[in-house]
Amino acid sequence: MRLLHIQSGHFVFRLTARDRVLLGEVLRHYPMASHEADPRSRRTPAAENTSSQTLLDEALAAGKAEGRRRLDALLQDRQRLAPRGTGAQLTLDRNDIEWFLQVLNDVRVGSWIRAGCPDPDQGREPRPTQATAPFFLTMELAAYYECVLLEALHGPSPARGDSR
Amino acid sequence: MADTIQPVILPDLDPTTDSQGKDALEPGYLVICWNDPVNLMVYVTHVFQVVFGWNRQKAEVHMLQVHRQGKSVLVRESLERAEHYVHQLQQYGLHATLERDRE
Repeated sequence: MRLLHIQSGHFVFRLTARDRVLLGEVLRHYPMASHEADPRSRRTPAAENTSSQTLLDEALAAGKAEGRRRLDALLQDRQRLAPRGTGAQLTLDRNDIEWFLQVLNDVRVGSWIRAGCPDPDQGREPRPTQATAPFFLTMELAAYYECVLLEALHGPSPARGDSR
Repeated sequence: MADTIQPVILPDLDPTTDSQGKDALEPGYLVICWNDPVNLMVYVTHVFQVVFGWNRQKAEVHMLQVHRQGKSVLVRESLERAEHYVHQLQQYGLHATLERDRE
């Protein structure tokens, strides 16, 4: 997937046939991450205002359900995802890209959780098994598409692709 | 002869509610972003730029602080605004919390 041009605030991307399959596979998983299942929240001091965090969690879940509907609508919209030969042309405005980044990162974080939360800094090296290997792949694919969108917004970055 | 003292009726204040309301308006809450091994550095920088309207340089300073020190205090705000920011950061998949500023 690569940026073709930006016109009147619309970013037009070229998707190859492979992109259509791989991006579709990534997006199929959305929504994937949830705050309750996120081990990151158990590694830090308990957040203050737990009741408000519960409300935030509910709002996030509702937002993701709406996000799934929005995503389905986008994937069906031939104006915005137009077939081009064996590939496609995807047209997104700035707001779409912000939302699309959230979608992709949700899949990345959700895949990381299902892959066993690898964290080399903490001595948990990635150890793909037959069951978890697809999640490692999905995690990296989501990162790739995130980087394409970020590069379209900001241009190339020396830190691009580095994981924290 | 002294004037008769008229009873003064004061509004019935609920001190608990009052203090919570005042507290919520005071910029005494810290929004903290925590390090994790999954979010991309460039993504975190972008999110800080979007959520707080920071330039790239400032966003990168905080991103690197998260990366190297494990966390970064991003802003000090009222409870309501701090919750708003935490919600936005969590929408992007970052691990963010708020806590009361003890200083």
